[in-house]
Amino acid sequence: MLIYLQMIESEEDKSKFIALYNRYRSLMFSAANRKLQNSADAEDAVHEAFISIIKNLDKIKDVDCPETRSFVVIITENKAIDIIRSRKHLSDEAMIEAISGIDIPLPGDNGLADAMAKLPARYREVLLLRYDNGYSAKEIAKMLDLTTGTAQKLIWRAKQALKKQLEDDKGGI
Amino acid sequence: MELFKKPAEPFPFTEEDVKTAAGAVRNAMLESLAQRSEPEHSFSTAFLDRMRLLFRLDARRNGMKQALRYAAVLLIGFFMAGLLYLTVNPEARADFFYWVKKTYENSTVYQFFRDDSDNQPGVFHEVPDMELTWLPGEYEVQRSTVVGNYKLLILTGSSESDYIMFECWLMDRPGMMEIFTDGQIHEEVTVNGERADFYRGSSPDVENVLVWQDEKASLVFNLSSSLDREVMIEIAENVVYNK
Repeated sequence: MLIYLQMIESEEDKSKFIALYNRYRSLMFSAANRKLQNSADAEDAVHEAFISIIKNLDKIKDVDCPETRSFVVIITENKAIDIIRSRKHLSDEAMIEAISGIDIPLPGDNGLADAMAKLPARYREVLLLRYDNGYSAKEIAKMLDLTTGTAQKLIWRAKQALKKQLEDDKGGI
Repeated sequence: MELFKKPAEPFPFTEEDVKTAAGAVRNAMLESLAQRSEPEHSFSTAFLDRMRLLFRLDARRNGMKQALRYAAVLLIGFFMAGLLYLTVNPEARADFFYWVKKTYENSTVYQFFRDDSDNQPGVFHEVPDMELTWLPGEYEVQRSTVVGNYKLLILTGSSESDYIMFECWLMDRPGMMEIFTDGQIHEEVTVNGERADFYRGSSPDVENVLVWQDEKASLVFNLSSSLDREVMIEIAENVVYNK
C-alpha cells in the first residue's frame, strides 16, 4: 500500500498549474457542460479534473500545445462521465465502457480515425492518452484512478472495439 | 483434443496507424470545441473557493517533503493538499472537525473539513507529544520526527520486516489524504469506540494499515505494519497524549 504525497512540489509547478487554470478552465467547462448539460455538475467535473491534473503535473511539459489541450479535455470528459456514472449508480463495467463521450465531428478519413471518433468515451480516452499523448498504461492508470492491470485491459479492449467499429464501418459502405 | 489455444486474431492496423488516427481524432475534438461559440462561463463562488484552496499550498510542505524522503524508503508516503468538494454527511457537520471518505478502484481519499464558523479554537496548535504505551514486544526507535503538523515514528523489532510506522497529522485546516491500495482488503473497525479503517495486506509482503481519527483533537493517525489487526488496534488504543 502506498500513501502518496499529492501536492505541488515547486514554484515552477505552481506557475504551471496556474497557467493551466487560466488557459483551460473555460475549455474544460465547455467540454464538461457538453456532456453533463448542467453548470453545477460541469464545475464539479472541472474541479475534479484539476485535482487529477495536479497529480499528473509532471506529465505536462508544455502548457500551450495541442497534446496538453487534448489531455485536459480527456481528463475533464473522464470526470464528467464519473459524475454520470455515480448519479446512475452504474457499477457494471460493460455499461460504464458503453457511455458515449462528447460529440465530435468525424475526422473524415473513412477509416481508422473515423472509427476511433465513434468509440465510447472510455475507449476513445485511453487510445488518445496512449497513442496521441504517448502515456504508458501505468501513467494512464494513475490519471484515471485505475490499477495498471485495468488500464492495460482497457487499452486492449479499446483496440478490439476499434477493430470491430472499423469492420462495421466497412460493412456499412 | 485442442492442445494449443488459437492465437488471437491480429489487429488489421499497426501501432503507427493507431497513432496517426489518434492525432486526427484529437484535432477533430479540439477544433469542434474551439468552433463552438459560447458566452464565457461565469464560474460560481463555490467553484472559485474550491480552486483557491487548491492554489493555497501549505507552507509546511517543504518540511513534510523531508520526512517523506525517509518514509519513501519503506514505500510509504503521505499527502495533504487542497479541499475536494463533496456532499458532507449532515451528522458529521455537527462536529468541529469532520471527514468523509471516497473510495476509488485503487485508492481511498479522506477529506477533512473544519467548521470554523464559531471561531472555536482547535485543541492543539501543534502536534502534541505522544507515546505508544503498548507494543507487542521489544521495539527500537529508528526515527522520531516532528515536522510542522506532522509526526513520524518508525520502530523496528527483531527482523527487518518487523517494523511499526506511526504517523499523526494535526488537521488544523481542510485537507485531503489519499491511500493508494494494492489489493488490500478494507475492514471497518473501531479504535477507542470510534469508527476506523483497517486495510489488510493482500500478501505477507504488503503491510497492513490502520487509519483512525481523534475528531475532538483534530488529529489523524496512520499505523502501518505487518502486525495482526487486533495487535495494531491495541497499539492504536494505547497512544497517549495530553488532551
